[in-house]
Amino acid sequence: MTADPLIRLDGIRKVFITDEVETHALSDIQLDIHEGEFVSISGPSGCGKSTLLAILGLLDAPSSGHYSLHGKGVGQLDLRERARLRNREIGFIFQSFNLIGDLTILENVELPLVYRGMPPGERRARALDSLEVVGMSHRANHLPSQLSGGQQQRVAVARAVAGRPAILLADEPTGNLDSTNGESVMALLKDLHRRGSTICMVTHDERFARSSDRSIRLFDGRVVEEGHRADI
Amino acid sequence: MSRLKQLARSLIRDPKTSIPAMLLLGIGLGGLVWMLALRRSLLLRSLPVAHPDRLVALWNGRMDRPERHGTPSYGELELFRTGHDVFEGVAATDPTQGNVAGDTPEFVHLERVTANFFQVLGVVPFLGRDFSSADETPGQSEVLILSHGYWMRRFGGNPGVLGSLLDLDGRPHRVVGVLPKDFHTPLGSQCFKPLAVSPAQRANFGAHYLRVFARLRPATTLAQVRAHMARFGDQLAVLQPEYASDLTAGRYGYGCNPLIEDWLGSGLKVLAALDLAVLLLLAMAVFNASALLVARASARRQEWTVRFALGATPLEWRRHVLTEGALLGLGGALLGLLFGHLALSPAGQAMQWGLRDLPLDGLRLDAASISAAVILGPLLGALCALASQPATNLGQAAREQGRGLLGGQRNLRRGLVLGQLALAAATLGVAAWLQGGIGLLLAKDPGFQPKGAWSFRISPARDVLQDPGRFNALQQQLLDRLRQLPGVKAAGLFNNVPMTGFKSDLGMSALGSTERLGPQARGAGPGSLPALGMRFRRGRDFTEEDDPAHPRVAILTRGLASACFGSADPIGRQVDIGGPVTVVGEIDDYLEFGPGQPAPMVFYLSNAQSGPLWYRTLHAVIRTDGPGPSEELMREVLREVSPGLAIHHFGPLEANMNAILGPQRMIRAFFSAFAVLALLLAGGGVFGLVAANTSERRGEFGVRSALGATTRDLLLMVLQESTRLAAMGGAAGFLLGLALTRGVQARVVELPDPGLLGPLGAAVLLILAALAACLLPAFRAARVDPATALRSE
Repeated sequence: MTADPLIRLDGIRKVFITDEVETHALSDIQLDIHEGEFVSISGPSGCGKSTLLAILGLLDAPSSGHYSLHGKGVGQLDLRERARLRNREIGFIFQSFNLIGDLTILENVELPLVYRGMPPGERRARALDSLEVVGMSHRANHLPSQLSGGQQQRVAVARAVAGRPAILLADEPTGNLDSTNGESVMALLKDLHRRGSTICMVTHDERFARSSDRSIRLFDGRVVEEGHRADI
Repeated sequence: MSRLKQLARSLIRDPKTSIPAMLLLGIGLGGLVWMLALRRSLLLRSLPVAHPDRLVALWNGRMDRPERHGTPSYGELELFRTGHDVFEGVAATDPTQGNVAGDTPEFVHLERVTANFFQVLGVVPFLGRDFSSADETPGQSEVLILSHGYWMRRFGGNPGVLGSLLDLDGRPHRVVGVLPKDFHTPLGSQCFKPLAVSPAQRANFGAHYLRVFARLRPATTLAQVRAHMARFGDQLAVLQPEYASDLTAGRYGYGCNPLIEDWLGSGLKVLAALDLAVLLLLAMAVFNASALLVARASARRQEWTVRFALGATPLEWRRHVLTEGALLGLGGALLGLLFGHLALSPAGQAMQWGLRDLPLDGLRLDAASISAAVILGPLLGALCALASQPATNLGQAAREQGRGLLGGQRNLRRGLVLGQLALAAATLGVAAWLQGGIGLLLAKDPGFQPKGAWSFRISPARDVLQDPGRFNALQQQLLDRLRQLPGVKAAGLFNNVPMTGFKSDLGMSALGSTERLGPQARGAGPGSLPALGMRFRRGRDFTEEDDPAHPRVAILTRGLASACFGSADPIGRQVDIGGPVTVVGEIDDYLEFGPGQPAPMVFYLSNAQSGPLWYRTLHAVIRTDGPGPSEELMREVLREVSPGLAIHHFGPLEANMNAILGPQRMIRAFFSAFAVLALLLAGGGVFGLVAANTSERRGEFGVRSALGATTRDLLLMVLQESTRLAAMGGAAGFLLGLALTRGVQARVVELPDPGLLGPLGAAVLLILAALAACLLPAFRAARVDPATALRSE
């Protein structure tokens, strides 16, 4: 691994404060993710996996600690700069696909490029390329409701990679799929990884966790176990 | 019962939907209840007699202009009385004025009526007796029947008034009866006396001044009466051959219409406009409430998925939503009754502002209006709820919800709000059109100068009117005294000033021509036309020498002069007005009937030469330098000139213009009020839609945010969607508004077309209002926390 990681989390804590209760979702997280790595995060429900992923994806800010992307701290960025960074550097894949029902498949994939301000011709070509990669270009003009769950998740992957982000963040990408479709989506992610994509995936499934280069296990908001594929 | 309890509990637990839905239905139903009560009260009070549907007004006039009803002569009344096949009875009235003697002479509306007037109407005096045919004999002792209101006010409701004498126009009249409390005539007349005419007058077909009506035999239709009226024309041609050519050419004939139309007059048009406004409001309320219930059903889809899983059937769902809607509708009906009740009294007052002669005080909701609300409320509520049924079955909808973010019923709700926006834009468009049209009317050059002029009226007794010497002396004294008043620049006397609604068609022609014209006939004294600000085009004004000792002279409006003599100079030429009359002046055309009507052809005869029978009332006009004269000063002047005369209708001449446009102004006022309400409802509808949509789409906003959308991107997206919706609604409303204004123009109120700017502006205003309404939910949506939004997904 190179010395400068793509992402570095240093002493990250996240505390949710409701009326009278203080919940420590994450405590003292130290994590480096290097370019080209496939990292999986697992752990029981409520252990902080999704919170960690939200912080990694700049959707949420830590209560304390330092987060740097490409060696630059992101803690002081305002909402607009965080949105810009999210758009260019991060690709999201959600458990429930989260395709926008009013948009066609192609329009869904184009969406991050729209927010980037890319000219229509270029973004259409880029989106079709991405759909080609996931094997869904033939359904470009369909609506999400016309697709099966596995197909919707493939489109979600295409959307995530269309912007050529620095890292793909996948939150339980197989959680809403049957085993066949789950395997298929995992094969797709592994293929992307082989082509050079950096991936950080939250999963419950130990089989899929074992597919990653490095596996991190969380419990009560702390990293309790970390191992490389060779160790597992 | 337990099901109803469950439903009521479910509605109480969701006040965010149930209270606005009930309020909306309440507003719509309130408008309807209000309208029904107003309509019923007006119809019942305007013709408070037995079987008013069997009463018809009979009139003469040009058959090609049936909207201009003429007043029949006594000869024609007798002709109508031969129509036993269709009429149970035919009666007539000659509305006039009188002066009741007292410390201060009192002006009263007096009607001279045929002896069978009350009998044909079906009104029995509350006290005393009705008129008998013996009372119609000229020279008999004069008798009076008083209205209930006048009896209460002047005599304190003393039953001993019967048999007492009342000094009316200087002659003793014996009071023989008092009318029931609820009976009013359109003029609100206080006194009624028999129409005593000589046998010669009964056979007179030339003097047209009666308002005639008839009671139809049971089961007689208007079509049968109209056919019968044509036969009267045939009889007239035999009795009066000079009418034959006009009858054949359709320039003269007889017609009829329900008496209520005559008695309500422009009130019917106001009611028609209000009907339209109320229906638009009700439709908007139903659309808005439906959209809310659709949102409620959508939000409860999960619950119904469970219920279906537990064995509920589609029938169960329908029963549930319909009962829920009916409950909401019932609540709306109760609120509507409250709103309607609260709005009724101010509405009555507002209508009296425009339609002064209608009895509109103390309006109340009646049983029929209450029943209508209680029946219609649940039905409308159920109708709204019916719209909330999902297009697909619930299981399918639930699967769609899970896969994407497209709400199954979002389009339906959007359509409902779109419809509501269109209706609001149309209402606003009509209001803007009315505003523009009335603005154009008020900007019209009236052809004279109402500003700075004041007028009042006096109604001399008939014996004064019929004595040229006394009448001319009265005029001269009054005019001299008025001109001596400080600050008075000019004064004049007329048989009628413009814009009072007075019509007096008189047949005339250029001397030697066979073409008969029907211009308005008026009388004026020397200096009167300049006092009114009339503009002379050529010739001269009347002078003191235009008296009975000299040849008769006339002043014509430009339109009449052109009709008689083409482009030739009319001065010195002669016209035939029951004999040759020399034209001495030509004035500009002017708006005799107000800015809403085209300038008619008018001729003026000199007061001293026109014959006193033309006069019922003398109109005085004073033009002053500074502030106008006081009514008390005018009373003082009159006391000096003729102590027994009462002054009436005192006020600035401009008030005539306001009064004659009363119905139009009132329609505009009501429509404007409804337009404001429509704007609020539409704004509320858009707010509700955008708030619900953005709330449902929180997850989508989270995803968009995760994909890099900034707050600005999300805000713009919501605003763009709302703008599209508002623009579509505005455009549809603009077109609907145009169609409605054409309908209003054709059927309700004639106004000059102010063009498209008003309705277009109304559509733009609606779009802006809709955008303003969606700003808050749009800002909320744009500031959604993506982490929270995605977590809740």
